[in-house]
Amino acid sequence: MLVSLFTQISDAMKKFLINIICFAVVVLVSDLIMFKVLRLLEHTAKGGDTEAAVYINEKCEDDILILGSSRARHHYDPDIIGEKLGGSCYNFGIDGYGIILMYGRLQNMLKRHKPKLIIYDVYGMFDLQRGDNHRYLPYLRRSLQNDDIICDIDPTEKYKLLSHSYRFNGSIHNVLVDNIKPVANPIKGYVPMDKNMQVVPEMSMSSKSYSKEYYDEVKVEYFKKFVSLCKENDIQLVVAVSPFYRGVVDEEFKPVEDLCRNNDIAFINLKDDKKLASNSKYFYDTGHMNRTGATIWSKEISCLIRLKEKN
Amino acid sequence: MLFVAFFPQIISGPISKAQSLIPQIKTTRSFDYDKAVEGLRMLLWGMVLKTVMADRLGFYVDTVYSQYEYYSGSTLLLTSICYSLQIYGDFAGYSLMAIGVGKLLGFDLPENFRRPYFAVSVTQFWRRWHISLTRWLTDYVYIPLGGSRCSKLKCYRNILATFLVSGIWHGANWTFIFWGFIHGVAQVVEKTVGLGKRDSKNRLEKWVRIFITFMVVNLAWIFFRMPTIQDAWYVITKIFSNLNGALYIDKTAFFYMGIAIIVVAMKDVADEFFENKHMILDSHYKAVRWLGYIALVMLLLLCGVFDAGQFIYANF
Repeated sequence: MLVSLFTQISDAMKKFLINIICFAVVVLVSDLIMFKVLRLLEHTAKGGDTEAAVYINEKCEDDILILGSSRARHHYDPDIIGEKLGGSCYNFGIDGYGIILMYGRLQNMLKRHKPKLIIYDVYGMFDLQRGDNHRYLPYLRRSLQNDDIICDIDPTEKYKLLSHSYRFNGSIHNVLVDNIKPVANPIKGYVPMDKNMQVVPEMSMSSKSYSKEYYDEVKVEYFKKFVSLCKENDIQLVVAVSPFYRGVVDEEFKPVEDLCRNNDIAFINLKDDKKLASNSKYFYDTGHMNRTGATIWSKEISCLIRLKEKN
Repeated sequence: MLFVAFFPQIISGPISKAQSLIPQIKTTRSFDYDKAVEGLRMLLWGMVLKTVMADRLGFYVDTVYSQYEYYSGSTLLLTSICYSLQIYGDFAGYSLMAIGVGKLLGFDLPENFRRPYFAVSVTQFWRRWHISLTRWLTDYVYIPLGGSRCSKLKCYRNILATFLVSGIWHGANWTFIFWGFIHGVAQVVEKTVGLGKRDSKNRLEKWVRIFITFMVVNLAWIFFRMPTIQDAWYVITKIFSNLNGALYIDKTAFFYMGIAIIVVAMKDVADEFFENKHMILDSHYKAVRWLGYIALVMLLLLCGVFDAGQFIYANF
């Protein structure tokens, strides 16, 4: 029937259709080649988040993992934590990302390796607060095993993922930079910041309303899934809130605190830590501690976890 | 009914007149290969403008403008330029896609953008930006008021009134009215000094005028973008008073913005200044053209933003 239809259409239309089919074939081939090249570049990365992503998916054998956002990345020294708690430790915190990506990464890792302890540093903006979750897609897309999570965020992604190279959409700069000259030079994933607060801000406590509307259902759901995944795999989970300079209230973390209480999981909230919080010499901005602060915090959290283990 | 519901232009133009579209609807059309290919090419370039340029720039613009009081004058100046490019990519991209889909179906819709930021005056800018709206405002506001066939003062009044209507057309907010007022005043000034219709033969003069025109249009876009006149005024004041402040650098955003701006600038410069050179997408060689198309498709896949964001002009 298609053939008889094709014979009836005009020559111009035939030419157009043939060209469209040829173009589609060329696009498909180019798409596949581009994907293969980028995959190769991913594995030749000299450092940065690209190397860390390959490490967590394919190589990680560490006992203790630090997960979370930039606050995790800059606040937890794996050498100190590993030494204090006994075991190898790696920091998988990543700037601007939160629970959705961390769940995906843990899910991938568990197919190959099971860590003993996970310390999750929770941060409202990326772990709880309502917002456009599309921002978490770039790293998730790169893994072939996270398509279900991607479709939870945006069901139309399943059509976009028909393209192979689309998996690198929004993260091609990372792959290129990490192959040429990685920006950060992490120590087992940890990136200490050797700078101080230039201007000490006048900050009032947050006046946000932490009603149901504040929280993102997808993020909260993924936190629940993350807790379940740890429990199912007998992984000890510690959820922590590392110190802020100022301006964050406890109420923001209530859903996570409730979740931890209901699941018998340690929740260590030291956002107002007496030694560190509000002390400008330990911070480089209001949400991030510098190397000095991070060193003190790494020792403190290790001691607290050890104490909790003993009790 | 078919004219009103003609889907490619239903959201935000180009504004076609019934007398140009209805005869096309009534005529029996046969498939036109060249028109269909041209339509697909416009569709592809429109998508690049929208998803690769406008939406990528949008990330930086939204980050800065949402908390503009925390950023330096240099950052606000850069953001205002980014917004000028964003709104161009967004709206010209939409228009091209609409015209492209129209062509694919065998319809000719009016051209809506002709590289507006290469205009040498604000008067010329409006012959290159949202051309179909300019034509509509000319036919239904400017000419009924008397147009230019009256005294100089009345002509200036007509220009101002037309651009105030243009401002109100974009929204019931003082920011839009002020935006229209700036454009109206700029054109009155150009008419007074005789710059409005005069083109530049000297290359340096031409580029200086392009730069000045862009900066005036850019300044007006700040009022268009900000929620209130006070907010816009704060941004403008800070641009002039704090230009040596630290520039907010988002390396990721700059990477994508840089790629998009370079690609779009290359095409626009080629179309504007080397029209007869038949470069890449217009090449006589099919292989070169296809290489260009494939590169654009790859650019879309790797750098495009496909998160279902709205078109800016769909709000107006």
